Amino acid sequence: MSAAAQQNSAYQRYFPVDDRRGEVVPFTSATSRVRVTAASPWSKALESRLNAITSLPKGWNGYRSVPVSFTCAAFAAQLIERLYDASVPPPALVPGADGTLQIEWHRNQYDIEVDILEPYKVFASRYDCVSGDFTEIALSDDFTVLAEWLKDMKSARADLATAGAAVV
Amino acid sequence: MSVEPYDEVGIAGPDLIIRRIDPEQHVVDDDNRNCRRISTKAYSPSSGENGGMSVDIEQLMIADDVEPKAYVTSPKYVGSVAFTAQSLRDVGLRIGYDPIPNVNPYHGEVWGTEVKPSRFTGAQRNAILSSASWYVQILGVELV
Repeated sequence: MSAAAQQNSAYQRYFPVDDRRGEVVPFTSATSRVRVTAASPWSKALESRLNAITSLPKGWNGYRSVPVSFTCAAFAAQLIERLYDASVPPPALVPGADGTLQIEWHRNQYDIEVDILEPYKVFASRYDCVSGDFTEIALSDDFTVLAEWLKDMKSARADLATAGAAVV
Repeated sequence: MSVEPYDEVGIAGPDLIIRRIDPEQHVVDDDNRNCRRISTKAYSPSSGENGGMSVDIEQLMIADDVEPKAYVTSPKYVGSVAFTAQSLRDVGLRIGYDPIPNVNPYHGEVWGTEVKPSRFTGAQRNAILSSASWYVQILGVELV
């Protein structure tokens, strides 16, 4: 995508780039509910993806789909910023047909999925590939469990790395 | 606007229910299984009132003498998976006709239970994942 196109994309209109600071700054309007200063490597890595999924054409999935809504994208951006951990790669972002958005990690024997239906209406699930345990919870205003899940995933990686070293 | 959720008696148990999969939007990297695979989000119903998961009903196309694989890959080329109606009903999901005028007369919806039609339970989602088979395969992508 060209620089000019990025400047005109839906996500950029919502999060215009402030060139002076090199950061993404939220557009503030009567309808914006989430303020984000996207400065982490995750946010920078996912900026173009957020641009893409908020600019999808209607019917993008072959049915009656719509692009990811600005409010879902803004909330996801804020959540991603809050969850940032330098030792964990950025998540995948998957659009829903109805303007919703899912954040996903599949690594270190954990599947973590965070389905954002709207700001503060979130379903999160975690599957432990080793034990088979599956947990699904509804979240509204306290997202600390997600940080704990990421911490567990990071710890699992450390365990795996240790086990790998022992085998060698 | 979607129709009220219901279970269509004209859709027989062995009939194939097709779900289109966008290779650019619905595929994620999975380090646990060392593959690229379809995201569970691809199998989610819409979250609004009466929201379901959009599908194509193969039997309607066959009855109209329409080639199903050609139909579900146009106007935009996408992959697709299929389930039998019975495999969905076995976990309490309902399937109904929801034709889109002038666009897709073979369009249908899959809904959850009467309590939560626009939300699939974990068991229902697992059943969808385990019963899915490729209809139009996306090369290099696993169903998982």
